[in-house]
Amino acid sequence: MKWMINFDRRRGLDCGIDREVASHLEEGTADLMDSGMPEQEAREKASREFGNVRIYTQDSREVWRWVWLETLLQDLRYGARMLRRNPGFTLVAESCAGLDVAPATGTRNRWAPRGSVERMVLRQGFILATAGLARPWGWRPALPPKRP
Amino acid sequence: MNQPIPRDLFPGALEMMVLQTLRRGPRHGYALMRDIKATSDDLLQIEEGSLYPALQRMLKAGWVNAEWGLSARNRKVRVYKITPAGRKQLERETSSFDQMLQGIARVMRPAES
Repeated sequence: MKWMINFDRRRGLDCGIDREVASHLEEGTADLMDSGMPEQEAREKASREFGNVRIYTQDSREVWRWVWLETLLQDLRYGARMLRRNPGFTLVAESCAGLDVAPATGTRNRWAPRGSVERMVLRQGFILATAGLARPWGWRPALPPKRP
Repeated sequence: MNQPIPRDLFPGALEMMVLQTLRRGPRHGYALMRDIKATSDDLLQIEEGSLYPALQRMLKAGWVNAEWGLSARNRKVRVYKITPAGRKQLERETSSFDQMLQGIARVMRPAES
């Protein structure tokens, strides 16, 4: 969930840019006042040298606008690649999800009603059994690289 | 005295100068700009604000990282630091910049013969 972290980081930066620009203008003003310029004049000169505050803060935020989407797409591509590479795991994962969804969508399920203990036990058992079966099809834990 | 003609930097020039300045040590935005201006003897006409979108792009690219701190005047500032990726980028940029300068110099001053 890298994109969520990025999202947070982006918000952090968003909040920061105004403070950062304000500090820049204050520092510039203070420097000019140190060289003997009256405050009002120093403030105006610092602001002139900075340029358009609104445009530059907007441009700074714009950099992060679509980052969450980029990382989400990256994650999806990565996920799809992993599933393609491990067809066995994909099969198991898909059937587990299917097994979960199918009864949930059925209205009459007296055999193991939704939310019952039987249902939970059945589900866990099936997941464990299929996870065991999946191994021969290629879903294996990563092995350390062979030494030459 | 002749006024210098204001001229835009080429894309990536500001980033290159920021990285070069940060290589000498971490700095906050205002200090970065002040150092760049001082080192260039005010020959460059840069609007100070343009530094901030550039810094955000560099943060995104992972060339710099930033932490909140205090300036010498006790103001809350974000202090930027160059990363190893930033150093690599600076090397690449510097050599391609040298090449570009040489190329332009050759065209502007053809060999006298």
